[in-house]
Amino acid sequence: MPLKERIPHLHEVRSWRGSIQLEGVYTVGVAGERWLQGLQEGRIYGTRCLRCRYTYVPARLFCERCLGHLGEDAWIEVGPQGTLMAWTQVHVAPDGQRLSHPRCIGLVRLDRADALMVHELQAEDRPLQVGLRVEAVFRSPAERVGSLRDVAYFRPLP
Amino acid sequence: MAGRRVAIVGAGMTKFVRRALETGPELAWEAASKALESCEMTLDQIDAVVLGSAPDAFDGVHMKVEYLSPGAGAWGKPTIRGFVGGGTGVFAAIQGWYHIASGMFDTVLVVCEEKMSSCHPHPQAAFNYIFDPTTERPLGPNLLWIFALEMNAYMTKYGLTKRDIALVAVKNKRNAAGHPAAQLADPDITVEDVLNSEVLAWPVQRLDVSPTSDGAAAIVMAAEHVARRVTNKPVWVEGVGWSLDTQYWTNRDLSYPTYVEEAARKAYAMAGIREPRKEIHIVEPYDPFDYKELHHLEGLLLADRGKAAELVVLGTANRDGDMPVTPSGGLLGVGNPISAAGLMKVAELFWQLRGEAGSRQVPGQPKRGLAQAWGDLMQVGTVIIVGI
Repeated sequence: MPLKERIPHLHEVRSWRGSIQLEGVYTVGVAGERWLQGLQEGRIYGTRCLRCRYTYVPARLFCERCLGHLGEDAWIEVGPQGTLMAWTQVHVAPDGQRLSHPRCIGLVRLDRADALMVHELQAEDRPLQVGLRVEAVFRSPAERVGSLRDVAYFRPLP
Repeated sequence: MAGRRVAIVGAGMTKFVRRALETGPELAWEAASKALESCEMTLDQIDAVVLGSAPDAFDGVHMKVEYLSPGAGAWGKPTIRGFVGGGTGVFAAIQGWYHIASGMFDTVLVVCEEKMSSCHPHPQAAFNYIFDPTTERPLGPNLLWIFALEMNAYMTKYGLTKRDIALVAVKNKRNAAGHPAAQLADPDITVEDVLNSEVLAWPVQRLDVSPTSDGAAAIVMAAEHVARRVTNKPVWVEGVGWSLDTQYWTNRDLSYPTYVEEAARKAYAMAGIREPRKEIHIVEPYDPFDYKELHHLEGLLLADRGKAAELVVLGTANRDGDMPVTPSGGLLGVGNPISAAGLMKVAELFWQLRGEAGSRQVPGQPKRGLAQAWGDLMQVGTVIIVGI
């Protein structure tokens, strides 16, 4: 019966090692070009669908609810303050290793937006709770490169 | 014909390009919204969505149909992924058909997207991982091997020349000159250009092969009572078929695509077609390689075995010939964003049968067309027959 419940050591059977090596180079897209440019300038933009009364963050080129185009008129600035809608403290990395410094991740509803934004939370010793008012903290202008990481983290308002 | 009558009532597509600025969801949105606009429908009139896309590795996002779904109008709707590799574009239309024919839905938006430019160093590299990890991959195989071996077997069996086969690339790239979405149209291309292009894996040369592309295509399908309200020119689905050959490509008949014949016979039976060579007025067979168009024409029973090249040599397959083949320009001319290319062929039939194909229009008011795609691990055939 060849079906083994468990092969404790791979050298006991024949095997061949192979890896899947592919690199992705992703364009940020029509809306993404402008959204990330905004982050580099220290601004968070959303696009608002007037028909569906819904504001997307990150800004999107189209409304997923009606497939309407979200053009020039749809762009509005949102945040940088907002409300913490959910949070977690992460203790384990994807490879199973324990993190020496747990990370906090939050879902934030930025003011004037409907969609939530996910990002790092840094609360120092402040207790986290849903409903907490928070704000985006940007890196210094010299450090910004037009990336999601131009927002360093969200922190509770003082 | 099984189930309720189903029609295609709208179609749209993006340009096919080497590298798009748009993200995958943005490409899907452009095609989907154009298809809806073409029949003056809105997303709230759509009951369900079929979203087709080939390997995740191209866009570089795992579970990419979920990633693409916002652009395809899937929000809040029953949505299914169509995926049979390169056969996906035609298969997604078949899925749209049975969603409606079954009585489950009245309207379906079918969207196919591919963004191959995300995949580095080259989309071809994604295919290095489709082979059996222990019995084939130790050789370092490349997908081109299969095509080169198959093309060689096909040429040898029937005594075809490289020149005979290169004429397909010339025809399709010239046909694409009238296509506003085309990536590799070339009205002046000659057989010599194809025969002098660089050798990739003998006998396959650069211009024997379709390009890698980014793009999306979409169609709107509707049940009869809706279709007649939406348009006075519905394009009816008359027959569909699909079939799978063995996964072991070394166990197939390399000179004949049996899986295409099986799919075609199902579609002809459903459409009540007894003499396909007389009853099919336009053919859009899958043409990622020039020899593959010939291969497929034979599998579709539209040419005798080894004789499809004669259709091209004699001009029968030209746009103004007795049986126009790939008047769109096909994958060789319009481009090959895998799943979107297959659905583009269905969209081409929609435009041709409605007389809306502009400078690509096949003369003589064609009434019935067939589109076919091919894929999975080179062993699936998908066929759809539409008519007015």
